[in-house]
Amino acid sequence: MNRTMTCIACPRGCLLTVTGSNDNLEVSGYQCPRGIDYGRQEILLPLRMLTTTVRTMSVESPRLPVRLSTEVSKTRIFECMSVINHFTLNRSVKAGDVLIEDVCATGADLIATGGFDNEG
Amino acid sequence: MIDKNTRKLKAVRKKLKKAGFPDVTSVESNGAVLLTGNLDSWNDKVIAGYTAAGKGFRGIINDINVRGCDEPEMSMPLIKDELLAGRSLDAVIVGGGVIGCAIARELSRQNISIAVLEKESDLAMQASGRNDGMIHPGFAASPGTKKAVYNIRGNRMYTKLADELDFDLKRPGSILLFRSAWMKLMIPIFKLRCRNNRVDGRYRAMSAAEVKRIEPNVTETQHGGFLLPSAGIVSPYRVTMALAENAVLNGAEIFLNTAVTSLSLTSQQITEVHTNRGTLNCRVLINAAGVWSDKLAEMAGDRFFSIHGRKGMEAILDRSCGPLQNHIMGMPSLLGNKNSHSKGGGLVPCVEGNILLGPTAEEVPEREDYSTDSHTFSELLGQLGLNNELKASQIINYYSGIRAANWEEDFIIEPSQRVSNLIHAAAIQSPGLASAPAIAEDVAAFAVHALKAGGMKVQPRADFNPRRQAIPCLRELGSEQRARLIKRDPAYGEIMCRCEEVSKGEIRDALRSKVPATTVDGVKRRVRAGAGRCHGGFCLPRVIKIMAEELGVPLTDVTKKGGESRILRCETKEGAFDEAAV
Amino acid sequence: MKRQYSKRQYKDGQRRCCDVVVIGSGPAGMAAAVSAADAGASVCMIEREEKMGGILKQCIHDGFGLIRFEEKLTGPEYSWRYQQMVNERDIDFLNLTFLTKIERSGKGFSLEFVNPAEAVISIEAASVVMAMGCRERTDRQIFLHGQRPAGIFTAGQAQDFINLKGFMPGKRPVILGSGDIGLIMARRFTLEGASVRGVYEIASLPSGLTRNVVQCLEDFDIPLHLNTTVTEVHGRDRVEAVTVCRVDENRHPLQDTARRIDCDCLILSVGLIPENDILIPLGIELDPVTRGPVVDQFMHSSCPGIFSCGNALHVSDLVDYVSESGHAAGKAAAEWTKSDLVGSRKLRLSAGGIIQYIVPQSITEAEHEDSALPVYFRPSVPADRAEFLLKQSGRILYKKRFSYLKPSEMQRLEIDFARIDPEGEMPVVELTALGMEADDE
Ligand SMILES: Cc1cc2nc3c(=O)[nH]c(=O)nc-3n(C[C@H](O)[C@H](O)[C@H](O)COP(=O)(O)OP(=O)(O)OC[C@H]3O[C@@H](n4cnc5c(N)ncnc54)[C@H](O)[C@@H]3O)c2cc1C
Ligand SMILES: Cc1cc2nc3c(=O)[nH]c(=O)nc-3n(C[C@H](O)[C@H](O)[C@H](O)COP(=O)(O)OP(=O)(O)OC[C@H]3O[C@@H](n4cnc5c(N)ncnc54)[C@H](O)[C@@H]3O)c2cc1C
Ligand code: SF4
Repeated sequence: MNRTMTCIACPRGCLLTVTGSNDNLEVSGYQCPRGIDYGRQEILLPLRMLTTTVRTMSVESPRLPVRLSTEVSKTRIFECMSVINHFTLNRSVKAGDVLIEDVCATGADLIATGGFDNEG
Repeated sequence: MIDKNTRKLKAVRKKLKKAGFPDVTSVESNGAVLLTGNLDSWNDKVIAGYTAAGKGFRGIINDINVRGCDEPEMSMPLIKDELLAGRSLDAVIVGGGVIGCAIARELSRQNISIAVLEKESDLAMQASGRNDGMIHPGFAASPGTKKAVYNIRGNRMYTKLADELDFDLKRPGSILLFRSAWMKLMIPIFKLRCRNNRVDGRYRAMSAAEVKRIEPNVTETQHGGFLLPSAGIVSPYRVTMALAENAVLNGAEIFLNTAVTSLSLTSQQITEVHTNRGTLNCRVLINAAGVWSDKLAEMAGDRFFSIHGRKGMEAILDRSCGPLQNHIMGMPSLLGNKNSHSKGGGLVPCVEGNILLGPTAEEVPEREDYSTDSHTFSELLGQLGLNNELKASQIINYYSGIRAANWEEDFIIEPSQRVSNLIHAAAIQSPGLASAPAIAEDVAAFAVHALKAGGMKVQPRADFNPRRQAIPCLRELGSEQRARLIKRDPAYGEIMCRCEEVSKGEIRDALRSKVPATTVDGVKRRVRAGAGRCHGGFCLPRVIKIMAEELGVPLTDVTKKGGESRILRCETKEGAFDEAAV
Repeated sequence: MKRQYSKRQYKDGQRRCCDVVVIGSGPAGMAAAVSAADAGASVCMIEREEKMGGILKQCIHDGFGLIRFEEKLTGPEYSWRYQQMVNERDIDFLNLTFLTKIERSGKGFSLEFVNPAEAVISIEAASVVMAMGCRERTDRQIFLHGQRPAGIFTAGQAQDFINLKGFMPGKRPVILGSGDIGLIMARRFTLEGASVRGVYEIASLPSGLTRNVVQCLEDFDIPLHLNTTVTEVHGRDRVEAVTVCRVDENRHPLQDTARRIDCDCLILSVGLIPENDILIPLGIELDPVTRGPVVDQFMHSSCPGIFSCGNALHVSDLVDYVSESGHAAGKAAAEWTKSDLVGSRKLRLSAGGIIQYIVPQSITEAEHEDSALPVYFRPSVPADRAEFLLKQSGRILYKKRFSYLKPSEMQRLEIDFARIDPEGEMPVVELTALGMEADDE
């Protein structure tokens, strides 16, 4: 294993090099310890936040913004998207309400990031 | 007669040979000279065309083939149906530009049935929507030409027209700036030309200091100028719409997305008009087809001229520049190169308060290619220098238009000599907008004459209403008027376009007017939503939503300018991944 | 559409008066309204749209509020927190209300608005906070040529269509410009099933944040082409393709590198312009670099009583700083109505070295200064290490070192302006790039 990547834990954007095997990862190129964690995590299980929208029944607000409650594995993003894309909101919700529990068994819930008034 | 023509033809051939085109064949056809042969460049074809002109023929038909250079065909509407099948109309006008619409309005004074057929998705989509909007004073055209005569008449008619049709007309006057001191020697010649052409207003020469006084930001390179106070400005597409709406009010019909594809004649008389929307009959046909007017003449078997495109690019500066200039200003180069038929262009304060820069002029083989390029744009920017305060960074839009130029460089306004019920209003290039009301008056008279000759009883319509009311423009109203308007109709209190302060009410009215907008560009041209500095960045989503509601179509069916120009592709979420692999 | 309008009851025809009018209810406007109310002013906040939140309504991605709330929020969530603060206070909020005119009237201002329910509204205010945000540069402002098809959008427009309206402007976009909105939209397009043909950037560095380059492009294998631009658009009705060209060091296209890229829309992320045109008739001084008003440390413009904040003041990449400037402007606007700072002297800061711009651009002598106040700047070129100095009459008043500066990332620091001698010479701020010794840090 020998991979280079840009650390995004802070604006400095160090160019990291990660070498070694999964149980013994070596990170170099960092300028602060946060870079080590970032480099390791990116190899072992890169996590990403997914934010998107869901369809609603409303004409005035046909989409409601949503996100997952926690970051999920980068590789599962599109899988989650296809489930979310088939969801239609048909009730009133407020920001923070759970719309789908445990999306694709990732452990993350789909939550509304804005309020939605089904009558409106 | 034959001898005379042979002599003239000889002169044409001699001239062509001298100009280096010995292989171009010229023969007489329908009173005109028909040029054929092969040349290597478009530019040569242009030179040959102008070389052959001016030898006393009715026109030049330039059919020279340029190797490797195709002249594209006319673009066609997508629609195919039978909407017009079996219809019978007294007057059919081909072309919904300012000329066609002015003729329709003039003819709607009579008790006859009228239809305007326009192939584009809206009126004024070609030259009439892509010009300077200048009502020329009538100085530039050579005395004795149709251009000069119609321009002067048209200019005068605009004052009443603007009042009747409720469109903005301003007469800021134009200043022809002197490039060098010796141009002062031309002043008597300028004055003489004004007298010969019967230019209105107190035209006069001005010293450099005088020019500076009325135009404080004028370039230091001027050496005085010549003031033509009767020069006016209008919004060209709004004038076209106003004419059309008034014609519709008086019974005329407008058919958009309708192209004339061929004509059937019986004993030198047009009987059937074939379109993509069915075949109709007419008693008189009017050719106001702009850059395609030669093709229409050809359909009727009356070809005696040919059109080529003369492209002009223009740029619009932010409205905040409006106060920086009062008059139309240009600094023509009188020496200019020989084959340039440009008026030199300049800076025009628009009725909406922006400043317009241009136009340029270039002979082109394409008649409908409105693309712009950086080379011409740089040339255009050169004219900014006439005003010290204007900068390229103030430009908010630029576009091009194509003039319908013929080789004789004059309007063709006459009943056909071959076809008894055909009237030409062809090759109407600049100053066509300025001349439109006058051209329409004469063409309408020709048409009435032809109808009467065909045995029809034509009488003035008793209930003709010369007036048309424009959609109120919120931005231009005072506080009290605004308040009254919004109280009556709250949609006028909802601003949709922030740059031009256009309300929902105005947009809705544009979609419900006598000649309703059906496209985003159509809305923009009628009420200026999206015509400002952010270029629709803010209002486009709002505008298309209102359009979808008013037109009763899904959002994805709303187009920018008809045809396939849909704004949006599809909804999110549906079939999201089907094309991802492409 | 829901109309909220005024919470207060006014008798018809009654002229409205308040201490502070805030124009715009984005994060800057909401913060200004909250602070002004907390400082004891009567506040009226005006918004042309239906809801509060400004641009945040369509920024559904996360990354907002790390500084302000120490949380990674999405745009709507960040906005919601401020909305609650507004609702908790006695702030008069007028929505669907558009500012059309602002004029001086006595010591204060007379403002005119239109809205559908009340037609024309006039408000007299002692001070005004301008928080109208910014607009996007268009294809015409970068002098793009070619045909004129449908399918050319600004990134913000595309964001509105996809996130709020639920419509795709295209399925095979080319993105011109690597501003943050463009990068974010590259990801949004991809998540919604489109195939992004590439991001093209005329500069040699991306103009958006590094984290967005990584998370929005690299994660999805979207190519970023630097030193490359779109020179021509093709398509009669709808965008069919664009021509892209590499550029030389003067950003002139190298014609022999021209390539045609098939696509069905072109998304522009080529810069934002603060919205201040309505202030021009007041004769306000605008900074030619930021294109926002020239302000002092209280966000006070050259026109006494007019305050500016958020993206209308200068384009920020972090909403936290937007809110911060809003708070400062709101508080100062409220105080302005009580005290009278007109007579006090303004010292212009002179910026040197590799500073692209600095806000505030001037300093007003103030009686009781809180403490240190925030200053924002951008470098004109990237620098690994740089030193920021504030000097006056040869004396160094403040010094700070920075590492890894980029023009795309705005910097913030706090300066105690009480140290500046109001009678002294013009204070100078200077940013100097330091050598590379930082590498072996
Ligand atoms: C850059 C530029 C600047 C100019 N500036 C000025 C100025 O300042 N002042 C001035 O007076 N003049 C100016 N002109 C000239 C002026 O624009 C024209 O003279 C005028 O618009 C011509 O009007 P029209 O109706 O003949 O042509 P158009 O507006 O071109 O109308 C012809 C219409 O016919 C339609 N058509 C063609 N063939 C068919 C068919 N077979 N079936 C159905 N429809 C068909 C076309 O689609 C078109 O809409 C300028 C021109 C240009 C290009
Ligand atoms: C795509 C994008 C991504 C971003 N990503 C991040 C991020 O990840 N993290 C982060 O911290 N920051 C991010 N930002 C930056 C931050 O969100 C913005 O800079 C901030 O929202 C600007 O706030 P504002 O209040 O100045 O302007 P706006 O939010 O634009 O608000 C201005 C308000 O004024 C109103 N208004 C304007 N003119 C008038 C008038 N004449 N009358 C009445 N009302 C008017 C408008 O309707 C609008 O509501 C992002 C910005 C964008 C555009
Ligand atoms: S390694 Fe540390 S300093 Fe470098 S980018 Fe990552 S967090 Fe920043």
